[in-house]
Amino acid sequence: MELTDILKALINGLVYGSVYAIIAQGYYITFITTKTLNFGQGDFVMLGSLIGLSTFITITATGGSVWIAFIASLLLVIVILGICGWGLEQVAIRPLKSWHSIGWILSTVAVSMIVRNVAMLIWGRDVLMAPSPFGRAILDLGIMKIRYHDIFVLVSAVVIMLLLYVFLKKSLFGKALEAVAFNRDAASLMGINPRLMASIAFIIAGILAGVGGVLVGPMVHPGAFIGLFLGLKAFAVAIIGGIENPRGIFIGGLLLGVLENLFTLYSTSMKEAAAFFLILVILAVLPQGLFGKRVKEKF
Amino acid sequence: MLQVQNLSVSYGQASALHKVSMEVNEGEIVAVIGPNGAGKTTLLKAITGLQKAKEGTILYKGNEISGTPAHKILGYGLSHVPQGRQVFGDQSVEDNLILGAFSIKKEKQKIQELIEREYERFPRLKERRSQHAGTLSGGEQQMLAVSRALMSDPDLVILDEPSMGLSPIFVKQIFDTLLELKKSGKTVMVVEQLAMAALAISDRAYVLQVGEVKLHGESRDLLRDNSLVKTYLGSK
Repeated sequence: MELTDILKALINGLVYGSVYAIIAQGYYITFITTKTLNFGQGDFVMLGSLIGLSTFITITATGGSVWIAFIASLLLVIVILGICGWGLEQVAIRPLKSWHSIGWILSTVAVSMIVRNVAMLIWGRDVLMAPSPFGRAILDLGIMKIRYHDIFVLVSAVVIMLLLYVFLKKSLFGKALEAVAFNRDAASLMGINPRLMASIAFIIAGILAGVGGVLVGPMVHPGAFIGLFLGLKAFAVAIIGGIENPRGIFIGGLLLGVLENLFTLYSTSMKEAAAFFLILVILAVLPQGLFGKRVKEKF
Repeated sequence: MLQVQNLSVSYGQASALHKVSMEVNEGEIVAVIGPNGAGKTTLLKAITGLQKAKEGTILYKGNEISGTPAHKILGYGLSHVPQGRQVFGDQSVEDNLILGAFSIKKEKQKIQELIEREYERFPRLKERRSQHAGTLSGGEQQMLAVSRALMSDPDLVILDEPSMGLSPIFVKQIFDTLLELKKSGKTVMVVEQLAMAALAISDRAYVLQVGEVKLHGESRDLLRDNSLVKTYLGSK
């Protein structure tokens, strides 16, 4: 094994890891506001990826430029997946939250199966080729080559994460979301509508899944079945990083991505084991996740 | 200003309030006293929409507010300091105050003025402005809870056992604050277990026991002849 292989694995890992992190932020934002999450988040990613792909191909086929096609597909995915997130909360979470402690888990899994099967009817069972707006362009660094799309994904992930962080920590709206998460009744006494906040959290989670899907499309061969593995990886990331810590999720995502690709160097079949290996180690040593530390409160 | 008529609340089969009627007039401090489990907190929760009422009406400035969800109550000018402070422990003192002004979010200038006013009221909060609210002492948290409720500039402030778990110095400070609020034209309704202290600062009082109003009148009269109060509360 050569040094360049390791370097390649590192970069590849960071790129995949940043996508996992974007998807996992969706778990974070709904979990802190409602203590629930969408177990079909991965299938929302798949949906975003396929809708993005179809839009992109349709526009480029009718002579539109790749960048117009890319931006149009991104916007369309944001709108559609935002609506999906909102709808999911209305249909599968809100009515079932008080019914039974696991009601919402089963219902979001059910919705994910519906989404997967509908996607299969529309896009078929085969994997597809998703073109990147950068085409197959490659940056040659001498010792190794990187696809422009990969660089683009990495940069986008950092930007998305920063925007989300600023939005949640600095804006009044983000503070209100956090207040609802901390104490729903007290937040409503401040004039904050907890139901509206729950809806907005799920809309943001849907949008994150969609954007993750558009970014990941050209990296994998998208198809109706990719949701399961993406959703699971992102869930692993949320647990590794601490589901209530957005920074932890980001670092956990990169960690998982890198470890996965380093494992691949030894054996491709080891790749899938990386996530579980990491979860086992972290849960054994730090049950709160990597960054799940909390401030002790006085009473 | 606030009229509660024949209010009944039950948790499942258990009745918590039974046909409670009371009123709060503009500019006065009204105390609701009674032992543990008398339904005091339930009464406040029903007024501000945190608890559904089974029957009865609640009028605020002539508007029927029963059934209004909690997040809309503030819009009427009625603010509730919940039992046990319930400050947002993960957020800074200043963020807690900003959240208190959530309903007037558009006016940044106004919010800054209100924050300064609250820092003047409780200088301790200014010292701790960037500290997580969860790390404050109980007394400081109570100051924060009161200030946070005042950030929306309400006409009526409702407080649920502000003395709970506090040392006598902090209790005095909070009660002095209530008198200042009255002086500045606000109306105050306070639920308390410290019956005598609450009677001493209030204009009128209601004695609640097992979900019913057993006694009400001018606080000064209840204080002077407090044998009845003692009967209902035990000697406190």
